[in-house]
Amino acid sequence: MDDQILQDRNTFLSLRHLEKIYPNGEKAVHDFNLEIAKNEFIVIVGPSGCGKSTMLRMIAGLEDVTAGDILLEGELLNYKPSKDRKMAIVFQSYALYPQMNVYDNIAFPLTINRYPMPVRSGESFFWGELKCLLDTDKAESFLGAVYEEASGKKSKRGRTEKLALQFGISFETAKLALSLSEERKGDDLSAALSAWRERAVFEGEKGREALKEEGLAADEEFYLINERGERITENRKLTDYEIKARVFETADKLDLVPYLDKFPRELSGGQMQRVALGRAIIKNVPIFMMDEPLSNLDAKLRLSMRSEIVKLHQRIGATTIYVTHDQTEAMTMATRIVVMSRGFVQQIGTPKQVYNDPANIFVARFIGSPTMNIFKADLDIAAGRFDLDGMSIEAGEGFLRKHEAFYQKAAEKFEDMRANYGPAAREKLLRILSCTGEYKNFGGRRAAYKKGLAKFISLFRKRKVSEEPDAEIAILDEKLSKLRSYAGYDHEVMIGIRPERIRIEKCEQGKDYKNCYVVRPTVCELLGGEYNIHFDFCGQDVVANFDAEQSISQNDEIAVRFSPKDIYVFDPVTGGRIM
Amino acid sequence: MQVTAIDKKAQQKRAKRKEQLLAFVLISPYFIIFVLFTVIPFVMGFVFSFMQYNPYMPEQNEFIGLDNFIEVFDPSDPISQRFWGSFSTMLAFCAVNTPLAILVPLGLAYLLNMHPPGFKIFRAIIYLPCVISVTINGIIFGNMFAGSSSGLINAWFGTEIKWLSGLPWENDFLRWFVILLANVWTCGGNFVILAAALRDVPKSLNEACEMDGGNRWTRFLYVTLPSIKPAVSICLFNSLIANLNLYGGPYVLNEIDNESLLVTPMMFIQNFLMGGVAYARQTGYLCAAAIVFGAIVIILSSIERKAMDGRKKRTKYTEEYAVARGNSYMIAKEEKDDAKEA
Amino acid sequence: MKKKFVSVLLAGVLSAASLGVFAACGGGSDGPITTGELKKDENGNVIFENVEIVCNTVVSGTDKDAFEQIVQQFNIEHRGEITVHSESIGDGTFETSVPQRISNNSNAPDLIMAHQKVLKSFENNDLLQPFDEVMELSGIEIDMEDYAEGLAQYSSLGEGDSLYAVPVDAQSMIVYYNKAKLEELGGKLPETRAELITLLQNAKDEYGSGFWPIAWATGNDYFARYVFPTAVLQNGGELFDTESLYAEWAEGENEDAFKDAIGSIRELIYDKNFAQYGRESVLEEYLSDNFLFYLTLPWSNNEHLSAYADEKGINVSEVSDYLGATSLSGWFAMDAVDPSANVVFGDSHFFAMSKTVQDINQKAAILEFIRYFTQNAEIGTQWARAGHVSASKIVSESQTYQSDSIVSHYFIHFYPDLDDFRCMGLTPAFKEVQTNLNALFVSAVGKSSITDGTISSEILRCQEEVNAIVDFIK
Repeated sequence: MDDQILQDRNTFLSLRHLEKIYPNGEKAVHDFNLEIAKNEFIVIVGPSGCGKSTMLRMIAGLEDVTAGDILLEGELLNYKPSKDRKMAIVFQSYALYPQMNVYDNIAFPLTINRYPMPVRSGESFFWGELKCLLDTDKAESFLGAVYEEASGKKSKRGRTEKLALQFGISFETAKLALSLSEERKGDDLSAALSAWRERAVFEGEKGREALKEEGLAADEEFYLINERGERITENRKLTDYEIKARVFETADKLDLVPYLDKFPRELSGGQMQRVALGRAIIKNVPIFMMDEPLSNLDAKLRLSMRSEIVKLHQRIGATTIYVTHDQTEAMTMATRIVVMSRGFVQQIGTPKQVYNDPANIFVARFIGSPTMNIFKADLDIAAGRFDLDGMSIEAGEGFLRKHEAFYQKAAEKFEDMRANYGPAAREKLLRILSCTGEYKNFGGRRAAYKKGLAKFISLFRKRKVSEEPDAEIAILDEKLSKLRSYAGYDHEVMIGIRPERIRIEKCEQGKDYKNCYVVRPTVCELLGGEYNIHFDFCGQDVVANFDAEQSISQNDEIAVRFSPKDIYVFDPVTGGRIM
Repeated sequence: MQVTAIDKKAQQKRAKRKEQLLAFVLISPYFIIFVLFTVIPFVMGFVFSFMQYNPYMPEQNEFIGLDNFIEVFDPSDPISQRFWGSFSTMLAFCAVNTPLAILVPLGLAYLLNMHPPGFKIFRAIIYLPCVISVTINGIIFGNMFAGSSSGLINAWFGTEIKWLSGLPWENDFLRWFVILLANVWTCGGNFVILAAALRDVPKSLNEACEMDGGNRWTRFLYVTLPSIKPAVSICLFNSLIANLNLYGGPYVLNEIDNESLLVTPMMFIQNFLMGGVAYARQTGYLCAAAIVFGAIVIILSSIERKAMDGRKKRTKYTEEYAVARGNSYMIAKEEKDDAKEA
Repeated sequence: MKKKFVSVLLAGVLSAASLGVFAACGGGSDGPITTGELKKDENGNVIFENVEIVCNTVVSGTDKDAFEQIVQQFNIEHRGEITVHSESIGDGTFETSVPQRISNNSNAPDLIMAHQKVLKSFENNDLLQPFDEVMELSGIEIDMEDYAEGLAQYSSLGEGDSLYAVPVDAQSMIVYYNKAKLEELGGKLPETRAELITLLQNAKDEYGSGFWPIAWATGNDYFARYVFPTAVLQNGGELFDTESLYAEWAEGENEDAFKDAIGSIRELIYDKNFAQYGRESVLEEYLSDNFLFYLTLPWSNNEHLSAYADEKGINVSEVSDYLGATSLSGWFAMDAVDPSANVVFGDSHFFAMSKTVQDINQKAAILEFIRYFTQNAEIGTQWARAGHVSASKIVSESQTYQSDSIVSHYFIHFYPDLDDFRCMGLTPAFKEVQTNLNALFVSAVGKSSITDGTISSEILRCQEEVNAIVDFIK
């Protein structure tokens, strides 16, 4: 189900027809299509075992892609190793290196990789940086600090680092400043300032001359440039100081500075999560991926971390792909949600779309807390209404037309599937089953039980999934016959309504409630600002919301009404939404 | 009924004593045997080492203080030279065998962890040799590598290489090779421990390292090795002690091929202590040698423990940062933290 | 805090207790004592009434059966008077378990039968008592004049004139010769080395250069144990200085003796190709008559004879028509007139009495048993048939002994003159001497080419090994 809107914008990350089949024949992801734009926050949500983690790992490169393409700005990523994919991932179990402290954990990606850094043009670079700093208004405080440090007692390296960190300059620049202060002791500040400025300019020019002689050129910030004026980059490992500066910056962003010396075993869950985030942030990559990062935290921490992650996303401006089974997280954090079930994508859309406009019964049931109430109802085509357990709801205009079209299309599809039963038809059948949730163990793997020699030999072989075409065809036939019998006749449908849409009135004495269902609630849960009222209807437990300004208890009678425009109608055979 | 404080205390004491008595009764079988067969002989040996002791002629026993120890450390005494010579034999062997006893099982466990087809069978095969006792192991290898043409290896290749013979002063390595092989062959115990430890390496950690840019070697170094460090430590400790105390293997090999003179300190001491009535008079010296040997083993294993489990030095990044940003930063941070926790 | 205190206390108590135990232990035990009275009849012979003695013997293996049979016979003949219980303890544990038993007086034997070489160490640790007193009191005399001189010289174990140990038998390598082949070569057994060499050379000429006249298995442990010292002693060498107990193998004349011994063996093997080096067993040559001289061990004499008989399909008693017996005397002596040119070196069993025996009746019974074993011609013959030629002249000169077929055909010739038999002697370092002689043999004779300097250094090295231990345990 491609999202047509996005195909026009320039997509950043493109996932086309991704499939994953495990060596034993089990298919985990079926035909996944998604186009992601820059700065989007995509949440892939679904119950356990729906393939969302597998999906994430395929994108990250931790699992092989069986079919399909992953394209990053047009570049094919399928065969690239994980580290070249410009992605960072945060795991559910944090995956921190237990033998290193927090500082080393965050610094780890920087220590083992080479990064393309612009080449500095030697010493003149630092003079240039010094001159820049002296031109700002921080110059005087800088000078003051330098002279103060010059007389300091700690190691020279420590003092230099302190200066560098304080004013955001390079280590070597600070060293130059310190040496300058040695040369010119006893000067007053303003004189020193101008003297230093002169010196800096002089050295800068000298450097440029030297470079020109060697045939190299540099821009104003003294990075080497080539003929076209672009900066030359080289792949090199970062120096200790550079790493330190970056780690401090990241730790500051995440409030991890007090914990820099601690080991992961001394941290709480939330702190560990932030360290994992820090480790991902420091890589400065455009794509973030998170695999259920908040599942291991307690409820209150989860709330605060949710907002933190969103704030982080906005601040850093990276594209994020987030996997979770908690639909609340999906609704609150995402710009777009992908709902998956049993390896199939059920719907892609913004939270509002997914909530208000579910494509099928699975999405409707999955999204929303408390869950949408689903009832079986009888459709009276002639009368154009739904009968459920004593209450009738008008079907509304246009329903019959939609109904006709829906079942016609469905019957055609099924007949086509039945006629050419093959792997493609099987896929479609599985997709439908993934939505309705029937035949839970269908299509799963079952290894035959072997004995004796066969078992011995099987030790050397991997187990295969067994297929049963006969059973599948039987299911197809069953569904097809049902569909045919539905077109144009009265039949059963599924009606869904959200808890907050159920109209509830407290029954007063003497008032007549027609076309309502009067009942006593079984349980009244007070959440603080509202009630979750449970009552029995249609043989099942129904949940409705009710404002807590009036108090309700089990002794009160309530009148329940469903408004026709609030109900969703689903087809019981395919799970698709009719209206 | 009033329960006075004194009653309560008495009851508590009784209950506690009963528990202690039960504990003592349960421990006592092992404890008695331990005291009888380990502690008392150890103390006796310790006392003997300070005496001129002859078990058959007690009237000659007299306390001679540290003379035995002085004799052990005397470089000109030929027997002491032999004792320290056996030490160098044992240390050289240890230096080669202990790393092998760790690295070979580690490599095998790593390979088997990748679950090649039939890995369950390989697992069993690798573990099997170590259930055989040392003596039988020695007999098997001794007969396989016997120097005459009827030894299995020699018969197979049609050669007459004298595997087990060899005079230490003639740069022989064949005999070492045989003993090393016999020892590495029984590395199954270490293999099982290391394989279990390798299985426990968290998969997500490996993946995190892969994402961070680590190749196979980096992953091994930063993820696998630190995770299995406790297991490696245990295996190293066990192997070290076993190799320092090497006795059974070379003894059996010596028996099979009389031409060899491979001696480790344990064999040296055992040779004389159990050698018969002729050496009875030197029991005191031998006990002193045994004490010295034990002390050296304790020292070596303590060094190993310290090296493996030493604590890392604490870094001071937090302080550095605070210093760099100035004191105001720390105060602001603390206020923020307090607000959060409240 | 409390736990630490308790453990320290425990350690202290234990140490104090053990020290106390040892202080008490060091009290010293008394020397041998004699209790009881002897009963004598009118002729002055001792009357024994239900005396029981326990004997620990180092004999094990096939000869154990022969020993136990002799013991049984003794018990039958002396029913109601003396009963001997014998226990066989193998060579490996004899030197540790028997001394422990004696010194702890638990399960201690009354009579021990051991190799001569270990008895000095037993005596050094006060585990034995002399026979003098009991011989006097009981009148049962054992006179060392009646025993082979070479062995009887050790009977006092170095303690003056006292009789501590009585020699029983002797074992060394035995030599069969092929009578048919010897006939073809002139029919005369060699008496000196020169004659031996000539005979062997003739054999080689006669039967071709592929024929090995001497069939011996140098790979067998006992070869180096018996033959090499024989060679050394035959050349006038000395295994150790009897006064200082040090080995002086590399000193002066002794070194020459050693070199001669090594040289004589090397000559036979490498220079003249009369014999091979390195064989573990030469049984095939024996069974196929492919030898002139065949060396083996005395206790397997019976098996060898029956194997040969089976091979030829004849009766065992007829084997003596094909095989003769001779000895090694004179084989390695480079100088034929050296007084020790005919010496043969081997092991010997001795009887001795443990110090735990107190009852005079038991002591007398022991003497009686010893006399029975070593001076009864019938018994001596039986023991000889099991492979242990008797050390007592009373037996060896008796009619029964000399007319026995096995003895007369074989054993008398294996050891022609018992006075020429030598064994290890009185040194506590006997094990080292044996091992290092073995090592010297292997290193000096094992290689097909070796320089004189190497031989000297090997001799010196082995000597130093021995002396190191002698230093240790003197």
